[in-house]
Amino acid sequence: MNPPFPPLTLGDIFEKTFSLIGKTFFRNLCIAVLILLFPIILMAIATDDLYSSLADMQDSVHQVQSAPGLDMILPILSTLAFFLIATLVFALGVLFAEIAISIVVSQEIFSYPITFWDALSELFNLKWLYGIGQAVLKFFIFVGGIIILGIILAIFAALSKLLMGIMVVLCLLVLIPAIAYITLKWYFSLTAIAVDDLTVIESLRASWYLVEGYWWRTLGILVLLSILTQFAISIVSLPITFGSMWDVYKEYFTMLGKTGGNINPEMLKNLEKSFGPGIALGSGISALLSLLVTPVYMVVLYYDLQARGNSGITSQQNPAKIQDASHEPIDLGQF
Amino acid sequence: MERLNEVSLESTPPIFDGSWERAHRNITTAAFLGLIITGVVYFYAQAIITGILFFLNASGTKEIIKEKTFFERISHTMSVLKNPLRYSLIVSQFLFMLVPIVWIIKRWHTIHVLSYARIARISILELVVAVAATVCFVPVSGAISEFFIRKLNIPDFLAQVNAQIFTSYSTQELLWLIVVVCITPAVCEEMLFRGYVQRTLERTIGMKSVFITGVIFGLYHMQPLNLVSLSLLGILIGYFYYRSKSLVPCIFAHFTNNLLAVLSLYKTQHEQAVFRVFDFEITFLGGTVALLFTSALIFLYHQITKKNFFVEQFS
Repeated sequence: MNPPFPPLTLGDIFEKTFSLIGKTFFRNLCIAVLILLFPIILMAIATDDLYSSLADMQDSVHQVQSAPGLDMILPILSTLAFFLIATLVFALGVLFAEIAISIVVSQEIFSYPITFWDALSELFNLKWLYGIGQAVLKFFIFVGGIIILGIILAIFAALSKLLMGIMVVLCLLVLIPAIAYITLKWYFSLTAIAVDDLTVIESLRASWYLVEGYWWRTLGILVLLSILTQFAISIVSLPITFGSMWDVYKEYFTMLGKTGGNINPEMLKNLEKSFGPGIALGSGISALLSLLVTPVYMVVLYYDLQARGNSGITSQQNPAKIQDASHEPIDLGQF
Repeated sequence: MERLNEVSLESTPPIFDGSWERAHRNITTAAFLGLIITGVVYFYAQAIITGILFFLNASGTKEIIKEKTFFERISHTMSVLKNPLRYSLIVSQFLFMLVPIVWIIKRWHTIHVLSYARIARISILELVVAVAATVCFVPVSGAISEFFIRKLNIPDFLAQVNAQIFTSYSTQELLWLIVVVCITPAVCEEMLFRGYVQRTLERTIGMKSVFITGVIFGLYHMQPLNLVSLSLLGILIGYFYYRSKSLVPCIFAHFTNNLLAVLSLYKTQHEQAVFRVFDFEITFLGGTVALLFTSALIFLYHQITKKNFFVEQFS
């Protein structure tokens, strides 16, 4: 099968990414807001609860002057559970939004625009399930690997402490590069699900073969793109994050003004209670901004790698894409 | 019906022979990419340089910290950080802002960097009006920043600690600060924001580039409380650039704005401010009057720069 997309230079990748961000901006924003609105609110409530509970526990410990008992720990555990659930919902929201945005971008790249509703309906047609599947599988493979290593280390520890020390060093030397290698090899699995309609295993395999032979190049481009993206996001999100924490800062500065620069730890504890919503809102907005950029360059890189001959396993391509691709003039000039 | 449309006159348009131009890539992308690349290089380099200088400075002076209150501690830290910050500012602005942007213009667009950035002569009148408008705008931006500072209840002592880097206590220190805080950013930041970003955006979106670059200028300073005033200052300087087709009034305007800030923080031996422009008591009325003067001067600037545009008539 002929590649539907010619290989891109670094300059082409930047240009395509910027152009696609511009073309899909409002649709992607609608998707991100629709999917992330509820998780962000939930996160704000959960973080608020968590900070309040922690401050309350500190208060109780301070009053009783003893180690926290079960009656103090139980409410914390319940708020912690609520916080974890909210974090999970937020992570799922990000995952779904990433798939839907990738769908929009993958169509737009071939000048085949689709509405955000179409992208959402495509997302909820099994792709969301595959998205969760690949995330869960990756998680268990990494965690499973670490557990197996832990068991091996424990066996060595039982034999000799020196042997275990050597093994720990060896494991760290092998484990970190191995995790980095595999992470990058599977980096495009979600994009493969969104773009090529692949199943969980197929997407992991496709991503693995896609990066084959281009591991360092892909790493370099991804690092470069993520540094530039994170910088741009931090510049834009700083005033938004600051605004979302306005009340906290105001209280803090008022307190500072009253005490002439001496901060009372008791006052700080009260302040801690109001940290939550601002932090959650700030990180939610940062995630939202990141979603407008990250899936875009992932799709561009995905097609670039496919064009370089490592198409891996792809299901039936969208005929409209292939047809339009032949008419797409791609500039291959020097960067 | 007759419609008037102003079209700018470029005296000597540079030859676009850079790699980006030869490949006929998107110009707007070049503007944003150049801005982000320079930003990343500049901010990371500055952080590293400040860290190294701070470390060298701290290890060189083994004084015992006697300060007890939070204010005293932060004031002490600022006094230790003051000089490393000043040195890192001057080094990083020239090496990691000016040099990368000149390199980007040369590589992507044209070897005629000065022509691209429009380092061109302008009349004395244009320069005087631009500087006068900036002087009048200073109380306006001061009032806006003051509004947010008051809304947030930031104590005066904290604002003063923050301003310590721009405060001078001797003529020698004042002159050094003028080089660091006035000349350096006026040249380097103007080259980046107006000379490259606005210039490049102007080629595709025209007048809108003034507002976009102005807001980016505000965001780049990473000072949320001064975001509005800095963005407005950026728009004002961008307007001078757009109308004059020269970077010179922008450099002078930026220099004037920073010079007034430095002068207002120049203290005598008795801790008395010599020149009280950035007084913390700027009133709403003062700001409004200054805004009226600024508007009048902008109008005047618009009139005297009409020669840079010709009027095209459509029927």
